[in-house]
Amino acid sequence: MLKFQEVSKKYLDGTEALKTVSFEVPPSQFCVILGSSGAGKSTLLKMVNGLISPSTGSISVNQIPVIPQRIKSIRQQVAMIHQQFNLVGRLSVEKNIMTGALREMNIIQKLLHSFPIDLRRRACQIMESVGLEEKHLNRRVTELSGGQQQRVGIARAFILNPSLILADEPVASLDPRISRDILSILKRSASEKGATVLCSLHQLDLAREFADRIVAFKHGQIIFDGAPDDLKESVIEKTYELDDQGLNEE
Amino acid sequence: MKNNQFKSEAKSPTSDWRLKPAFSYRSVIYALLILIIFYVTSNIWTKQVSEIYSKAKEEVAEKETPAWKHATIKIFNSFIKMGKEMFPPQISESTPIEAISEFDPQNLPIFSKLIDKTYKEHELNPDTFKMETTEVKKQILKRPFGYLEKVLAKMLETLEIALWGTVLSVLISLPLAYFCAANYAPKRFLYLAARGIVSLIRAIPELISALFLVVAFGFGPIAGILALAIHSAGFLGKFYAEDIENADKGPQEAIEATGASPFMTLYYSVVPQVFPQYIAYTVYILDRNVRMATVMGFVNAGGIGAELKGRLDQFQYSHVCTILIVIFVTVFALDRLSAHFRNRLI
Ligand SMILES: Nc1ncnc2c1ncn2[C@@H]1O[C@H](COP(=O)(O)OP(=O)(O)OP(=O)(O)O)[C@@H](O)[C@H]1O
Ligand SMILES: [Mg+2]
Repeated sequence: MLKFQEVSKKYLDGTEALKTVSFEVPPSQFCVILGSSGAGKSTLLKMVNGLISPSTGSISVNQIPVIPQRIKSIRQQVAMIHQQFNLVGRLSVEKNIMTGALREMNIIQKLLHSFPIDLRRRACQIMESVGLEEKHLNRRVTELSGGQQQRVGIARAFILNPSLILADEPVASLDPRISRDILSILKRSASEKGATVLCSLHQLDLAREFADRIVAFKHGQIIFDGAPDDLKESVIEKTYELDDQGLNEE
Repeated sequence: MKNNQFKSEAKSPTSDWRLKPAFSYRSVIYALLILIIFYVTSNIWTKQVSEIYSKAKEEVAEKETPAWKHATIKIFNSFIKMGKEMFPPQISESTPIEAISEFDPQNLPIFSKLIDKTYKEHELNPDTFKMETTEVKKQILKRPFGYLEKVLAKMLETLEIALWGTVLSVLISLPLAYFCAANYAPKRFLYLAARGIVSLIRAIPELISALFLVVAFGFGPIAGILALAIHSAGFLGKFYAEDIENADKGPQEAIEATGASPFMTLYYSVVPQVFPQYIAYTVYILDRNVRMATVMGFVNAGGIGAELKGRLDQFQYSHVCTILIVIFVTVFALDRLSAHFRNRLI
């Protein structure tokens, strides 16, 4: 389904965010990525839908290589839930969700914000499934709580049945109960539709609870890859330990 | 290595720390430079001052008053004279009926009345070769608010010029802004071309482009509208583009990731963000264009300016006064209105 082949990323300022990473995610797996701040999680996820291009190596989604010429067909299959929600502040909840489906509309519908009724109905269903209510439909997203905003971000990702979902810390800064709710929504929606999920997390307990598989990163390299039950204390310590290198990099 | 350096520095007693002087030699040089510029350029006004002074000195040669006092009084007097002639402002208008085409005495304009007036006319008698004074009776149509009406109509025309100039400038500057935003311009050369155009059209003062447009389009409002549109499109294009460049990147990334085209990414993630600011810029430009449109008439590019210039040239200060009052009241009212509008929006 999703394949990383010797992928590395060096930013213009010389930061090596990823160093020759290779792994595969089979279809409909819920794969959690662990790693301390700056380990390269966001970089990894953004390379899958072409927001960042790898310095070396290649990535493919359903055998389609992630290259600029094919980026349209990649993005049709891949949806992303962003670390900072990345919602459009002055637009309503409904419109924010509809931005996930712009590629299904004609130019007039897009310019006039007049969305097709079947998509609008679908947005309502998805809102309900992620725990948003009718009264939220026409509110500006800035008037919602953090948890509600994150749900809008999830609804936006689900509007067009993606086969791969990239979730970048979808529960960062949410309380434990909402975090659990949101991950269940993610996991349920994924398993119902057979979607693959690549999800970065900071909460170990949640990772253990929801993941089919855990991949741990440190300084842009994989230091663990396996089932949640195999994740040993030593690995966890190594993942989050503060060493000299880590401090200097901060 | 690093640590040692840090320690040795920390060890040096505070009395050895090098303190920054209050004035660096650089700031002294800058200050001197500024003074030199002031000195060199000052004869733009000192020359005229000394002319006024020496003229006053000639005039008071035999009198007691010092020249500077005389000059000051003269300046004040000319203001007072202008002020006196301005009042009362001209409100009414009288027109001999023979000057009105298709005059219909049965159907007079509202409030107006007909007056009989006798004029003395001096004429050269061709037989006697002497000047003769004849009395001529004329019927005059007096409209008590005639002149005010005329000025208000001209002011309305001025507002219309400003409005259409602004509408046109928005239409020009929106596509320009798209190409002027470094992160959306589809091609580098288009970006450079758009930036060049925007700086160029911003650099041409309205009155100067109006001069040329009047030659091409003839006297009238089209030249005024275009002159305002071109200049303010330069401003709006720059401001709009800068807002696009500075817009929050997060939402743009999110919409791009859904597979939307660059234009739709802009339309759905940037436009909602910058919209209130765009309205504020546009209202400001409209406000400014109203003020600029009042002087477009100086070069015959339409609006109230032509009337103002004409009356000034004929020293008809009471007419000038009416025009000025109408301009000030309109501009002030619009200013309040746009401030109110802006506050509600932001
Ligand atoms: N645009 C950029 N330019 C230069 N360096 C960058 C850029 N983006 C990220 N980095 C660097 O790359 C490294 C990995 O960043 P990344 O955002 O992938 O970390 P992360 O694992 O997502 O961290 P967090 O958990 O804090 O979100 C960091 O050292 C970061 O400073
Ligand atoms: Mg991150």
